[in-house]
Amino acid sequence: MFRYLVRRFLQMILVFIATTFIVYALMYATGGDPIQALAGERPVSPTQRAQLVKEYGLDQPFWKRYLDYLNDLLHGDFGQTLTGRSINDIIAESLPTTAKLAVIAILTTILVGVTAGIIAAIRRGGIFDNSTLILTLIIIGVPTVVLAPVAQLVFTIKLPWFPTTAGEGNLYALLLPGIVLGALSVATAMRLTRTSFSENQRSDYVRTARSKGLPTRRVVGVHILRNSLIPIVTFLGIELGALMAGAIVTEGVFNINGVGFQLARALRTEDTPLVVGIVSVLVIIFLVASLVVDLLYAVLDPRIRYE
Amino acid sequence: MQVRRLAAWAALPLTVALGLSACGTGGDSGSTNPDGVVSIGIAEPQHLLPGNTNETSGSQVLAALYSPLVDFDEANKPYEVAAESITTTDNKTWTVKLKDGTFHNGEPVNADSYLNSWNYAAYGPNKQDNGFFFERVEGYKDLNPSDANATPSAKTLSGLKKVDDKTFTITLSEPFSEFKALLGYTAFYPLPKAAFEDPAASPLVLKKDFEQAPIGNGPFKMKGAWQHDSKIEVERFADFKGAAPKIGGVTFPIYQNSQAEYADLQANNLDVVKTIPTEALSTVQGDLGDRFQQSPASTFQFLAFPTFDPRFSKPEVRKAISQAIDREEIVNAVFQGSQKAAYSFVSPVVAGYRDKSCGAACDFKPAEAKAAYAAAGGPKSLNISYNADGGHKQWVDATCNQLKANLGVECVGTPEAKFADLLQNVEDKKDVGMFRMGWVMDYPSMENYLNPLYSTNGSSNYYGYSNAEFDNLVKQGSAAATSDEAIKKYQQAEDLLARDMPVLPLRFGQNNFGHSTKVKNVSMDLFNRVDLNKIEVVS
Repeated sequence: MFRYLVRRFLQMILVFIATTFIVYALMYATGGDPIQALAGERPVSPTQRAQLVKEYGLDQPFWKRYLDYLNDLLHGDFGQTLTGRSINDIIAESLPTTAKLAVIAILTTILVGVTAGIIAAIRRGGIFDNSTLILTLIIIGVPTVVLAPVAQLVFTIKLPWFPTTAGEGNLYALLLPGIVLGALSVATAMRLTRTSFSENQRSDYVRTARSKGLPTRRVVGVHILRNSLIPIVTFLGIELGALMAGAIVTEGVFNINGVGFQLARALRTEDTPLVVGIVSVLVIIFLVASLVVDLLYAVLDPRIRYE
Repeated sequence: MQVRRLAAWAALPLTVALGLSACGTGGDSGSTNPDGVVSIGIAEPQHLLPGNTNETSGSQVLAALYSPLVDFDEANKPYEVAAESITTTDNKTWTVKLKDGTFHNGEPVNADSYLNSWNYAAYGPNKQDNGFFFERVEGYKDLNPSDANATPSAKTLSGLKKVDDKTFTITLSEPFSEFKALLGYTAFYPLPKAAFEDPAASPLVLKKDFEQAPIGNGPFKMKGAWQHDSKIEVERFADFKGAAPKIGGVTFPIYQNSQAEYADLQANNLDVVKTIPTEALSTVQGDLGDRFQQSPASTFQFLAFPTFDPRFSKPEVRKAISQAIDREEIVNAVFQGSQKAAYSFVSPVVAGYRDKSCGAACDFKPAEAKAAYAAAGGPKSLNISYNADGGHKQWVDATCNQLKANLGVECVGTPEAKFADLLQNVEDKKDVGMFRMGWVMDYPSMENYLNPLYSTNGSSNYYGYSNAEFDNLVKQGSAAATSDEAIKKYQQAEDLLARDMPVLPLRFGQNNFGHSTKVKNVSMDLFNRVDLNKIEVVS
């Protein structure tokens, strides 16, 4: 187990450096002019331009800039945005908000998606199964760019049940956007649970369990559920990583100061340090999420061991 | 602002007649709450510092915190606010006498407050966005050497002199009759001693956290610090000596996305949206009724010709193209009335504006245009270059279609990724064809719509227009004894543009703003800011 962990950590470092390099190189290669992007269509005076170029080292060769950046990064310093704000502060402010949102979304997915999937599997071919199939197909077909504004219009403006935007980031204000985000993976989670569950229902060990007279509740709740969870955990783990990456559309519609919100702005203003900073944090989150998922396999299925 | 006033008077009886007054502005009879707090949506400001704030979000906040030297009256002419008087005898040396005033930290506002602020903004190495506003002041070049890595030879503007505590003089490098109009902008606010590490040092060094809670001399002071990406709050400053606002404070919630901002207005959670998003323009009348308002803004959109290109060197060709464009149709079909068709070279928000100063050259006369175009030997195929990131494709394509139909030529829109790329191609004299340009004024004066854009050495004259007579008239205007005489010269210069047509005026911008049922008397000033002295809270 220990050796496995060490191996994974070494891999993570490699992946981390490679991804920051790729993102940094891509931002560099787009060849935009961040100073002009900052100023919009207004001309930038040559003195001002030269000062900014000097301050941000825009005239340095690529390798030097990347190594400087990596050096700061390894010291825990993400640097400054082009408007002079500390990127550490921005990330520290936006990450908890996105985390709250992601947790609400994942809980929605589990409560609605997994539960409905189990019920549908138990009563396969019934009304519930068929109606949820149609319903999930509809939701999966509606993109966030439509779902989020419609939910906002219906549940905050026409029926004022929720706050319209969530600038402050309190939990209640995050509820609706969280549910909207979660709704998108409900369909996938439900189909996945249903398939995995009904497959296991027909396996030998279930027949054995039933024939030795175990109550149905125990057969379903312990034997089948535990074995059916493996693909679902994989899915939820990756999904949580993706949700932490911030939902650019949803966070934009509900004005949530999260990671997606910051990333969208950084891309629009060609703020390379901010883009690379956020992406670096996201890479770490993804790596940790996938490690946790891998470790959970062993918990769920004792046949899997990490040597 | 005269126009907007008239529109409001006309709109009131109309709404009553239509029975739509359910969510009206409250009328004049409703009582108001002098301590009410108004919320105005903004985007995250880049900076909150007079010398470094050049976008509307930041300048909206600064307008609450600072009191300007001059403001603009109904005729868009400057009048003194924080200044007692601003006088000159030769348009070169200007004497500013200050009224009594206090900063929010109790410091008195004196001549040094202005000199420090301006010297800091103009000093090249401070890389302030508004540094260029001081270009006209004597000594600016010494603070901004052409080699940016060199240390400037001076640390303060030699043209700024303190006379006594309440008086200072500004010497310009050349006479400029409209200088007073410049002083109304954000760049010319004062800064307290508390803004600097050491107010006696030279060059001045700004305190690192000053921007997080700027101290100003205006009607409102900061309530807490700037909460990045969340909100900025200001409250009434009890010791403010000027005209008191009619509200107790302002909250500026920060939005990244204009549709989220608009949704909050629809839910009545937000009081003012300064710019209704384009997507909502088709439904805004139904959503807000008479709480949706429009007023003229300073932006000017036009099509420019590379006049150095032989295909476009004849004014007759340019004029024929102009007459083949139906501006009204584009404004209504593409912009849904959110902008106004332009028939002048100078925006309606500046003194001296005349409607239809472009004359016959901007009238839509397709038949005449086609004949004139053929007679002048205009090119068989045209293209219009534009920047793809600014939402220009639709109107450029529409314009091209009009040219195709009315002149019988080929026409395509040529997108460039960024506006800067487009300008670079023009400067390199690549084959860009016609190209789109936009202009936002820096200060409300006709001069600002003429000199930078069409003078031979104009900073934004990308089309190679050069006319000695025009240059001369603009120069005479800048040296004129009174502002009325200056306007006369500028108008003559504008007439030359109508004759030569180096560019085609297309559209003037509009402020398309909306407000909640909780506020009234919402109006916008020349710089796309909500007028905080007029807005009131309905109680």
